[in-house]
Amino acid sequence: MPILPDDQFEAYLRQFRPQPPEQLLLEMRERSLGRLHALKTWAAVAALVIAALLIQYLRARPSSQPDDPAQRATFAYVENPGPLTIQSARALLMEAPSFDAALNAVAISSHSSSFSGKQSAVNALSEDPKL
Amino acid sequence: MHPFRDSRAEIELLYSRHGPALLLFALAIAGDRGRAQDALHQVFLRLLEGADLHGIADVKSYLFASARNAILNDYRIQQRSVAFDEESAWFEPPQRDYAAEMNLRRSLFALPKDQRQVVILHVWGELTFLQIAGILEINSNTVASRYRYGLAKLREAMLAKEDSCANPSR
Repeated sequence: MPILPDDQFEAYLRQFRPQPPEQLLLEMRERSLGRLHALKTWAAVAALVIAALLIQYLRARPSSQPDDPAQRATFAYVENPGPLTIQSARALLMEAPSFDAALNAVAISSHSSSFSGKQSAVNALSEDPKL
Repeated sequence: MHPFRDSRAEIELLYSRHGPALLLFALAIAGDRGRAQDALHQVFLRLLEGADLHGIADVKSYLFASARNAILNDYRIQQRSVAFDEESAWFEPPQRDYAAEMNLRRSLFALPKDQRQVVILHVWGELTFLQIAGILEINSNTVASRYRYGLAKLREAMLAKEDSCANPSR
């Protein structure tokens, strides 16, 4: 290599071309971005389906207990009516949120259970051949 | 349209136009082709992820500065000294003169890192001293000084190595 002035030395150096880099992986990047997008879409759809099923299940499920605490005491009494004694009346009044609620519970209970398996007096008398 | 598709052609063009000089610059800092290539990919993939090139006044300088930052952010590279890799060529030599290519590579590698970066940025990156000053965050007079010393040392080193190859007994 001859001794060159700066500009000629620079020109000599520029004859050496830097090696090109590896191919930029754009295709791979695009594919991975596409896959990520598809994955996000599927995840969103799955979340929506699960949410819809959950809502449907919760709506279809029969509620065993009333949510309103005011009705809970009367509900308990209606479930197991039994005879109305001083003790059960006191318990009902203690649990019920109001006097009206307790009275309703007694009324519902007597209405739903007192005639089960029994005949009305008018029917019994009408069927009596002696009368 | 997706922003990725919008900018893709532009980014590919930048990569093919400046990729070789960027890789050489990255090699000059990292010393290792794998790390240099990784840093370059990192810069361009970041661009694909949504960097707005239209807001950048000097895209070429931005790319060189980004490549430098990507390498310097790698703590391990900052800490370790890099050995010269004889196998990995940096240049495509004129007239397939591979001995001259190795001579140039060795001589460049022997330069202080600061001077090596400036020489590469000016000769092969075709950047002005002002642009280099912006990339390296130094004064442009310092750039000019480093270039002058770097070029002189490079010439000396190349001549010395050529001489020693021609007369191995000396």
